[in-house]
Amino acid sequence: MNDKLKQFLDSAFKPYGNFPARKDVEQELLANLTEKYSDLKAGGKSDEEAYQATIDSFGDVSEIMDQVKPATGNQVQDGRSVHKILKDSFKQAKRSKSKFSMVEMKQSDLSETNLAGADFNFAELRESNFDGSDLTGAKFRAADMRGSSFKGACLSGAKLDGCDVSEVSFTEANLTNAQFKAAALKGATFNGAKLDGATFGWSDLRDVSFENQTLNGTYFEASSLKNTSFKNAVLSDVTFHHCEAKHANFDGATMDKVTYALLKGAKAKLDNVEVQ
Amino acid sequence: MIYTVVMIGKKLSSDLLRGHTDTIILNLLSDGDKYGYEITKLIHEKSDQLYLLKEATMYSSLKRLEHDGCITSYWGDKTQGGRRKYYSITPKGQELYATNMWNWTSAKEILDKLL
Repeated sequence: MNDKLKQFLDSAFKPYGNFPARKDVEQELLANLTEKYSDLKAGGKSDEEAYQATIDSFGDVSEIMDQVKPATGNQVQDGRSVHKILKDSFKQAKRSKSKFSMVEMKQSDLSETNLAGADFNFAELRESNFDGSDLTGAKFRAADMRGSSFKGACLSGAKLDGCDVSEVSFTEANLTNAQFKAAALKGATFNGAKLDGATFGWSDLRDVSFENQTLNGTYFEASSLKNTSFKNAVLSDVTFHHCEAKHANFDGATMDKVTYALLKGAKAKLDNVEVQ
Repeated sequence: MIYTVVMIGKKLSSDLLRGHTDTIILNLLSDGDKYGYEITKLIHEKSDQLYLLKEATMYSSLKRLEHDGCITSYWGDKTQGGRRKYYSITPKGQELYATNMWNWTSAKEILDKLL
C-alpha cells in the first residue's frame, strides 16, 4: 500500500518537475498518508475504501506548490539559464561543418525542398522562404530567421535553440517534438500548426498566438507569456513550468485537470476555461 | 432542494474555517511539538469529527508558518511510511497566535451583536 500511496504522490507532483524540496515534501506527506491509511484500516475499512478515503482527503496539490517555491526566475535546479543554454548551443553550432552553417543566405527561396537533417546553425536566413519544405530534424541553432516563412513545412524534431524567429509564420507547419530553447518567438504565428511534444524553454513568447490550437504534451518552461493567446485552444498534458501566465489569455480554452492546476499555480486567469 | 441548501451551508462554513487554519495549528503546537498527520487527526477529533482538514491545506499552512518564522521543524524517527517531520512553535508564532486570538474574540463579539 505504501507503494500505491507513493505512486499517488509521485504523479501528483510530477507536473512540477524536480523542485528542490520535492524529496523532503514527498517523504513527509507519505508518512502522513500512510499513517492515515493504517488508522482507517484499523477502523474497519477495506484496502480499497481506506486508500480512496486517504487520497480523497489529500486536497489540491497546487495549494502546496503556492508555498513551496520552485527555483525562481530563469534558473532551474541544475543551474541552467538562458546564458548557459545559448553558450551550449553556440558551442554545438560552431562544431558543425555543414555547407549551410554560418552562411549568409538572406532572402533565399528554399521552398518545397528536401532539407531533412540539414544544418543551418548560425546561418543568416532573414526573410527566407521554407514553405512546404521537409526540415525534419534540421538544426537552426542561433540562426537568424526574422521575417521568414515556414508555411506547411515539416520541422518535426528540429532544433531551434537560440534562434530568432520573431514574426515568423509557422502556419500549418508540423512542429512535432521541435525544440525552441532561449529562442525569440515574439509575434510568431502558429495557425493550424502541429505542436505535439514541442518544447518552448526560456523563450520569449510575447504576442504569440496559439488560438484554436490543439496542444498535446507541449512543454513550456521559464518562458515569457505576456499577451500570449491560448484562446479556444485545447490543451492536454501541457506543462507550464516556472512560467508567469498572468497576462496570457486562456478564454474559451479546454484543458485537463493537471494543466489547469499548473496554470492556476502560474497565476493564470482561468475564468472562462472548461476543465475536462 | 433542502440538500442543496445544506451543501451551500457546508461549503461556506468550510471556507470560514479555512481562514483560521494557521491559528488552529499554532494553538495545537503551543501544547507541544507535533507532526503533520497528528495535527489533522487532532483537528478532526477536537471538532467532534465535524472538520476534516485536507492534507494539502494543512501542509501549505505549515510551510507558510515556517517560512514566516512562526514555527520550526525537525525530522523525527523513521516510520513504516516515511519520516515524520515535527513542528514546534517559536516566540514569533506565539505572538501571532495571541494577535489572531485577540482579532477573533473582537470580531466574534461584534458578530454576536449583529448576526
